[in-house]
Amino acid sequence: MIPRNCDVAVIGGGPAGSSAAALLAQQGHDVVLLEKARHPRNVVGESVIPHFWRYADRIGITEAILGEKFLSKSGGTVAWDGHVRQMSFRDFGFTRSGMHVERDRFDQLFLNHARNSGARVFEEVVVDSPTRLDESGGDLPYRSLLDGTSGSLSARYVIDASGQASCIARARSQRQIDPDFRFTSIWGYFNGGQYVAEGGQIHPVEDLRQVWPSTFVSSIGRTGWSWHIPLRSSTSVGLVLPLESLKDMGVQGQQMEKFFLEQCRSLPYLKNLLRQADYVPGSMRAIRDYSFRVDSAAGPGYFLIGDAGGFIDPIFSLGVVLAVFSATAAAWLVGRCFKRPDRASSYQAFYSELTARRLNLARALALPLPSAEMGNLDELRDLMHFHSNEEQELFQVVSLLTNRSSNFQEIAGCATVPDSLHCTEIDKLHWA
Amino acid sequence: MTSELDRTLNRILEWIREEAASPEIVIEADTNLLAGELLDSMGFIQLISFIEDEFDVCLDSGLLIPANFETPGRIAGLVRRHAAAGNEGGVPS
Ligand SMILES: Cc1cc2nc3c(=O)[nH]c(=O)nc-3n(C[C@H](O)[C@H](O)[C@H](O)COP(=O)(O)OP(=O)(O)OC[C@H]3O[C@@H](n4cnc5c(N)ncnc54)[C@H](O)[C@@H]3O)c2cc1C
Repeated sequence: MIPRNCDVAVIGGGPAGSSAAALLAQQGHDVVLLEKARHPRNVVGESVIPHFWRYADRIGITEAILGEKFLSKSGGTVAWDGHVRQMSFRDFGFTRSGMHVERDRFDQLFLNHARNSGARVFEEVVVDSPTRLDESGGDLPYRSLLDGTSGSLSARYVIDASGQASCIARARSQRQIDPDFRFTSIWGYFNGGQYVAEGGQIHPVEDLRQVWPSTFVSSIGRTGWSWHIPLRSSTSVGLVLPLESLKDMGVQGQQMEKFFLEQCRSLPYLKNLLRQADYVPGSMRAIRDYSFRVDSAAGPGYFLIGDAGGFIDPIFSLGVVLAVFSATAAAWLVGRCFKRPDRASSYQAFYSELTARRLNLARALALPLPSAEMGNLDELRDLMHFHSNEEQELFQVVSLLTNRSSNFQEIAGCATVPDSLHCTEIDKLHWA
Repeated sequence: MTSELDRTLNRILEWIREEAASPEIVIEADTNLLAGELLDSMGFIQLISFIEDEFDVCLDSGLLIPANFETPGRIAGLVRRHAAAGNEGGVPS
């Protein structure tokens, strides 16, 4: 039975919601998490960078994730406008690897962790727009998809972790599509085939446990690109293309799967990697206009975390890390708001500002075209200084991998520019 | 006044040594906290919470200016300045 009251209500049980619920329950708060789907459920975003572990440790989920033995990855390989470049996390002082994860399983581990930490989790429950949200908390109307019953949950704080749905921002018309990032992504899964590893070596998927994969990204046209992410038993392949170009080609509805497969069989690098691979029938999915920002990521009675607080672009695999970072920060700050209600508005303002700057930094890294508007450069430079030298170098390298770097170099101009960047130019991929 | 600053600095050093840094790392008043992996964004959020509780100050202004947090010495200076402003009745806490 869903209770009527709680300290903290969390909308959505992706990595962000489950992490915040776990942390707040561990602090001794009464937490209720409502999730629309039933886990394991599908979601995109399978490449996880090693920054993840810092937050995993705080959340207490490291052991469960390691125990699952997801595939480790060594770094990233990018074929952009004819240049093939590669980076390894090892070169940036990371002692723990990145991962390629099946998100249905990964997210289920997070939800289990929230439960085990003492949060009360209810699946197949949809939250509608809050009927009240103010300094003293919020009221969330909900419907159960299991038995059709409905009710309302009152909480002293509401954490919106509803992902792209971004329930609270949407209800307040504060979810704004980013005009510089209007893309559609189409992805699907393949069995068999080959993958890219260190040194540009190509291996059959049977080698995955012995030789770590590198996440492979290649450019398509002026602003599009594709990803190739080998998982334990299949490979995730995705296209990111300007909304307009798909519209112009008349690709929609039924034709999408056909178009996706044609692209996978004809794009320069993908077609070779997938030559001996079989498409998993019916595995294609698509999402459009996923880049948006919100006016303010926190306010009286609420914090928005993970994608619900804004999402920019998947190119550098920052999504899951920003989800667990924002969950950790918001959980801490909600705890502070309970302890120091007189300071609540400062904590909310601080969180909003921090989130906005993080998103702006991610945005500057990912901007597809040099001319686009970048926001306050000084603020971005300030945020850069909160990162270690190695991390700043990593930012520079990833910005160099794609030709999306010119914007970012403008920010980095003021930060430390290392003499030799850890980024290898490879002549070509070495096909087996 | 110097002794107030020293006491503040010592408490901040203690906190960082205990909560944030690994035991083998030497933290002094002039250790650069931003250059290494010493304090990440979460570390800062927790440090700020500690400072608020311990010294009864509000650090609203200057929170997001990294230069203020570069070394334990600077953080102690920031705390004393805020405390002084509070004592003059300028900033409610
Ligand atoms: C094309 C694409 C590729 C990506 N690739 C990567 C990648 O390689 N690596 C990476 O790190 N990130 C990637 N991302 C980003 C990543 O998917 C997200 O950042 C991440 O999933 C965010 O986690 P979350 O917990 O905020 O949201 P989600 O994981 O989306 O979870 C939100 C949850 O809320 C639930 N929910 C929604 N509405 C309601 C409601 N009304 N009531 C109750 N529950 C609700 C949903 O069912 C869902 O379970 C990609 C994104 C896109 C669009």
